Amino acid sequence: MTRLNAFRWIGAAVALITVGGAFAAATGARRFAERRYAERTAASAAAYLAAVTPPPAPGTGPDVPGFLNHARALAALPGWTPDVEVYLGTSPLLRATDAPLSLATLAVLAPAAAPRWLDGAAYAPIAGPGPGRMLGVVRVRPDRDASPVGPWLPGLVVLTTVAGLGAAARMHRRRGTWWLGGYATAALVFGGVAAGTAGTGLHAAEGRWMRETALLIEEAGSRLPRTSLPSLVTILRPLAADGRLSIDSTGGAGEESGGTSSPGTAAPRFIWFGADRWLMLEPPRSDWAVTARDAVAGTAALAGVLALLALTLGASNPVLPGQTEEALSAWMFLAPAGLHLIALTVAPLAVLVYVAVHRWDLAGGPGEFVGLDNLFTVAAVPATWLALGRTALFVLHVPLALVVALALALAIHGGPGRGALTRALLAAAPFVSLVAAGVVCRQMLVSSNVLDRPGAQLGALVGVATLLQIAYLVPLFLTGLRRIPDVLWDAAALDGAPAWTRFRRVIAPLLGPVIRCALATGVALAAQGFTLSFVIGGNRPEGDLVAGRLYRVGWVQGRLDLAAAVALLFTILIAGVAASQIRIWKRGVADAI
Amino acid sequence: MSAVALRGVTKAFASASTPILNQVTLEVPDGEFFTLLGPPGSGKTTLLRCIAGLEQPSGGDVVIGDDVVTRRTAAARGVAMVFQRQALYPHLTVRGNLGFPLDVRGLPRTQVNRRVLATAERLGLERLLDRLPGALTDGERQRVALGRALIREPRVLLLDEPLAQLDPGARAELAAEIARWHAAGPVTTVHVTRDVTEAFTLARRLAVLEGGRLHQTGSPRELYESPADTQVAHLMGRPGMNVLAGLARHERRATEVECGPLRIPVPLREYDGQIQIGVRPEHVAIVPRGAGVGDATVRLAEPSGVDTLLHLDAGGVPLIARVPGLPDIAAGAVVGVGVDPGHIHFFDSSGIRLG
Repeated sequence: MTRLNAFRWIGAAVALITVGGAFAAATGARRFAERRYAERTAASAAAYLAAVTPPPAPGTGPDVPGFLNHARALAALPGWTPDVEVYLGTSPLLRATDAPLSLATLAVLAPAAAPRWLDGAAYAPIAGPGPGRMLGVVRVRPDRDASPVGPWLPGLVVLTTVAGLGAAARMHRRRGTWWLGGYATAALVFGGVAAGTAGTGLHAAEGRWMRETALLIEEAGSRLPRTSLPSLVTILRPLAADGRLSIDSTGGAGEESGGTSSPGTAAPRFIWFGADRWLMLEPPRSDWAVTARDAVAGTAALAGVLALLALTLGASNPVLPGQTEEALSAWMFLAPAGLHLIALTVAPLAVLVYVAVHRWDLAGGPGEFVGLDNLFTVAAVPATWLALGRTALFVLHVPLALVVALALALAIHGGPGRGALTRALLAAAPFVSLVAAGVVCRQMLVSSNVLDRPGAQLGALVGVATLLQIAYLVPLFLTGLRRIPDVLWDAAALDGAPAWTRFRRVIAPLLGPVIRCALATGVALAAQGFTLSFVIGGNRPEGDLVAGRLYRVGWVQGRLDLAAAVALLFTILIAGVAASQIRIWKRGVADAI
Repeated sequence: MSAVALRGVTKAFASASTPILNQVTLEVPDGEFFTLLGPPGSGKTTLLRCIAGLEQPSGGDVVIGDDVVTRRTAAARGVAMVFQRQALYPHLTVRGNLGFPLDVRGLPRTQVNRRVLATAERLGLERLLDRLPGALTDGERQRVALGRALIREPRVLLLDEPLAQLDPGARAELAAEIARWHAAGPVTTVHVTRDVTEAFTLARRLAVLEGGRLHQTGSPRELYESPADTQVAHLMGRPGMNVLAGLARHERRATEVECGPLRIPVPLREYDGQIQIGVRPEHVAIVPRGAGVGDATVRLAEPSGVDTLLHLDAGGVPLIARVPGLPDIAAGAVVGVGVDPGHIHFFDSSGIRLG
């Protein structure tokens, strides 16, 4: 086996392991969240039954019929959905066909201890009268169907695996880079979805438990004799399990405001007991274990890409003595730039994907995982495509300005206008502020009511941007022209090339690096154009470019998820354009550096 | 018929007080290889650019063939030029550079290719056709530049110090190339250089340009053997002729020129007064002290193997002697100076040749 083949096998293995790891972390986190839900629900239900079952009169046994009634009522409580069984001693009360509780299990559940996880179900003891007494046991099975993983995650597992194996197999072959790029894209989306799956599992399970427990507390309150609020809280507090139950001193005011919550946790729930009597149920502290898995799921997928990239680079040269040290020091030199890249490019992109596949309100914080729904939603809105179209039109001002600026620069270079005044004006022009130019332009347009006409705003935008771009480009091109040796102009003149041919065959190719650099940076900046459009258009949505649309959706309408989806859509389109023009862009960017 | 003629061409730049070209009149017959020799700043490149049409003369006319072309563009004059350096299009391959003048004139591609191949073959550039100028040596680059100039069969070829930037080996090779090409199909050529060896190597006829003025025109031998003035004398030869200003005295039927401590007997009859005499370094000999025209101190010995240049100082009068081989003379030594009386040139005090 050649060394390259060994690298290919290792790459394939790495891709499989990382995809599998991410999937396992995501689904594991989900199971873990369901288990926590079952444990908490068991504890709440056990506390409920303990609270509502009246203590027996002294000298008599437990009130079995009463207990049975309460247990049956619990299972039938509308809106309370867990898969529950209540045991009195070892016998099941709700479904007679269920197997009796084993003595071993009963022995494990020490009275008044925390819920235990045994054989795929959560068991919580029901505290009996007196210390150390156990009335019965509540068993709750996790509900696998409560929050389905959905088709996205398995689909992406398959896609990412195929792309990863393909990239490994095509390492240093034709189209290998394309496969690696495809793998990276798939892994990025897969990582976002996996992290989302893990994170929302907890969120959904926690939200469900909060809702159901609030119901239980309300039900318990209605079954207990009326008593003062503080003593009610004392009796009901065990129902809150590891959450917190307290008197809401605001008298329910929090319910209208939706409560305050930190991102990633469910909002508190408010339970009404008539008049101004409110209790507040706060969620348990967020579970770091799930959060960690959330992160692992997201990063594991990307780790495979990085590993494969490193392998590809590593496989490109035979290892010479001392090269490992050399490579190590090279990576250390690259590390700051790499961190910069991760912090400012990779991480924001990952966050973007994460936000785009969730429901995420500016006010309400993150919500549940929604897959590609946001993308479909924004794709169905004409405003998105109008903004994209306007941006495409707007970007066209860059080549336009380029042509005009080049013509001006050639005229100035060949003409007599090399005087100090021309040069001073040229040097000053790029310092004109975008905002100042925009404000002036807006004043002119507003005073003449032109802005109301269709397309006028985009026209004005293109006009101002073109002028500013020309002002910036002319000095750049003049510098480029001055760097072309005079002797080449002479040679071209002597060789008999007419002016246009001379420009096309000699000057343009020699200015190539400058032109490509100006084009690449100009287009990149124009595609993100915001300032000028915002100043000229003010708050009119009919003139939005993509960046303006993002702002409107994300910050004016408060839908960060949809804004992220617009950004993602735009990124995908730009990536497509860039891929088709990769040579020009690469050279342009390389020239820029 | 002359292929190139200049009629009183003057060129003055607004920034300079004296004109860079002053009433230059010149005729180059058809097919001749004509060289203009001049020190840096003498105006020779400006003259060439006036012929090419890259500069507009302030006065006078440029004639090519039978046409006055003074007002014509460079492209319309049918001239080609080889520049000192850096004149290849850096983004085009050798093939692209050679074919460029034909391409822009709209010749069919097949014809362009045929002529490019033929030219490359003549200049030994076949293997380099697909290289960019950046990957060539200086000598190869100049050969490509020569090919690009010649490929369109110009009426006049202009060479602007084409060998100046080359190392000695490449210089000899390219000089041979130019000479061979010119011999095979004589194209009227105007060549400017500051280097006398280059001029001797290539020129059939030669003119010395200094201070914007033509000093002398003739064959290299004529200019070497009888320079018209001290400037020509100084330029023709490397190092140039020693020119000593002195006072001639005619006594007892013999004439002697007194230059500082040197007393040089000269074959002149009846001359008294200020004079300048010229002696080439090879006609200055080292003799025992007291045996020659005087004594001098050796300031510097510059051996080249075949011969040695001795820079002498005779009481403030500088003098260079070329002596054969590697003489055992170190700097600081005092030697006698001998002058071959048969090879003394005479100039008046303003530098004009006498006799």
